[in-house]
Amino acid sequence: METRRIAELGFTGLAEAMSRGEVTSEEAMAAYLERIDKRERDLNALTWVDHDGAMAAARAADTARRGGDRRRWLGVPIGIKDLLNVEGQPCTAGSRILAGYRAPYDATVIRRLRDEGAIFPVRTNTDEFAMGGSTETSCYGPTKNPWDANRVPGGSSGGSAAAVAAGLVPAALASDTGGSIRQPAAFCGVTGLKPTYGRVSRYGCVAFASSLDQIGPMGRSVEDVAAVYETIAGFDEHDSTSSRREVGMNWEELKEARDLKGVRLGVPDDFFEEGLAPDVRRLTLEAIEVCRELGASIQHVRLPHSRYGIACYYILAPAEASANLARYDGVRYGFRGKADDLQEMYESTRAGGFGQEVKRRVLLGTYVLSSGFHEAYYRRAQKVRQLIREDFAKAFETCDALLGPVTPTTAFGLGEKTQEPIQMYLGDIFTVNVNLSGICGLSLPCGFDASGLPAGLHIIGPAWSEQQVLSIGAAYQHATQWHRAHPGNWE
Amino acid sequence: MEFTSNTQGIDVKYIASLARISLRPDEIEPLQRQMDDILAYFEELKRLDVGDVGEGDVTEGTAAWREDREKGELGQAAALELAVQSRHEQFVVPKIIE
Repeated sequence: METRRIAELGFTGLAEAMSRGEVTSEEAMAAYLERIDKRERDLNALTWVDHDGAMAAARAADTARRGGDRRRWLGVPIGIKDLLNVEGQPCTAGSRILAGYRAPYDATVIRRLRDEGAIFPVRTNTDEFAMGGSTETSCYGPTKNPWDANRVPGGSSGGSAAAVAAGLVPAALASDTGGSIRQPAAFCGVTGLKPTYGRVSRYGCVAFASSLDQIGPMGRSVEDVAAVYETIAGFDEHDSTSSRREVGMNWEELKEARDLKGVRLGVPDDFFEEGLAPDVRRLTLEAIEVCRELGASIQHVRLPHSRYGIACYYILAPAEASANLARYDGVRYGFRGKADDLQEMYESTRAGGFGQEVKRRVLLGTYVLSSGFHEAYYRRAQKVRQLIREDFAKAFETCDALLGPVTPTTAFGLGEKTQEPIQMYLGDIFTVNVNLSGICGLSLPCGFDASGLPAGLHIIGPAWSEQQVLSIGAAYQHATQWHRAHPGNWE
Repeated sequence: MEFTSNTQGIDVKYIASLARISLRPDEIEPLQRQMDDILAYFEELKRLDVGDVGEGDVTEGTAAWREDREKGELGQAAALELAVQSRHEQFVVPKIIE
């Protein structure tokens, strides 16, 4: 099978082709590595590639298959954000402070994929400690958008999104603390799911903001994303926030999702006010119209506190980050700064190991938690968070899911916002509230702006409604072709 | 509750010392400016009356509790393999006692 055809199969398509004997894992891996060798130099989507290990694992998978092994993802490669521990691989979170660290164990999501036979040939670039919306804060340098190399791929999971969009991997794992799966998915024209808080174990994921972080998949279609989600979701005793609720998901059922009859969809008017680019507005409204034509009833709703989400998020997330990142002190692993005494070692390690955005957020978090300011900032933000949650709860009384844009604009230029943190933060306006509320959100391609850049449709569902959200997304993708488009230099 | 903030004259060097980060002189001014801008932006939360509102919690009340027992998943040898410097099965750090 030719390289281009293999890359077009995606995650589930490749697994099915392998099980039918149309392609071997070795052929597929060789095809992906060839694409990586050709494209990676321009994209910088990957932080590590294991050529030899990946080929060896692929050959072992083919041998196992010949021996009767029928595991679902046997021999199928998947990209892993450089924030998740894969035993024996580096895991740096895009930070110099974790230089030299090699994971001594598998994250739970990795173990679950490994148990089903998946292979992990690459690690994908990320903003440092997932703090960013452009993948420009990585110590490995910025990732480029496959649709336009002068633009960012979004972030923080820009490496995963760019790698899927460019066909370097059939799917990838990523993480989403304030939009880090959905925003890069929108910027790169791929599909990404941020699951409900507590649905996917974070054990083995480098922590950023523990009340917000969630791991999720990216892929070329809703079905691919659902298949990976189904594999990684479910209770894990290693994550104390993990839910014992049944996952109740079967990705193959999505193949039959054809209409939206009886589905009640809400459109938050607050998402269509100032700051939304005209093209993104038009494409989102066109996508909503497609959903109406598929049989959904559409109603307008209000989320009056959503405008406060950015301020709320950028108090709470840095506060939690300042505590989580206290562990990076140069004592046990990673980078250590030069020093004559212990205090100086802590300070020089963190000064030399953290980049500017991480320093900014750690300082911000330290400030809002400090004596005299905790009440005014942190506690107030926690209360605003509750108001935001109540807005969604009210909307879901009459709607099964909400539709809106993922981002106010399509991908912006490299370097355009790096010196203006607030402008960068405002790009998260439609995504952070989903994290603050602990609910789920899906980003899927819904067309292109006048510059040929992809835009994303956001489907937001109540907690634990992934099956329904994915089903709505699958029906939309069966009626449209946007997710099948790929960048001009796909060959 | 009175909302108080200090959007002018935040002492970045002091906050950095609390966060155990030494700043270069050329880092201080931009950080100072950016943090002042960000804190000024946070002022918009002041518009909301949150007096009777509870604090948001996205967990189902399952968080944080588990049996207090050692799990021992990462042994001493594996932990020390990652160490910047180790000796006699312990991490080595600069001298603490003068």
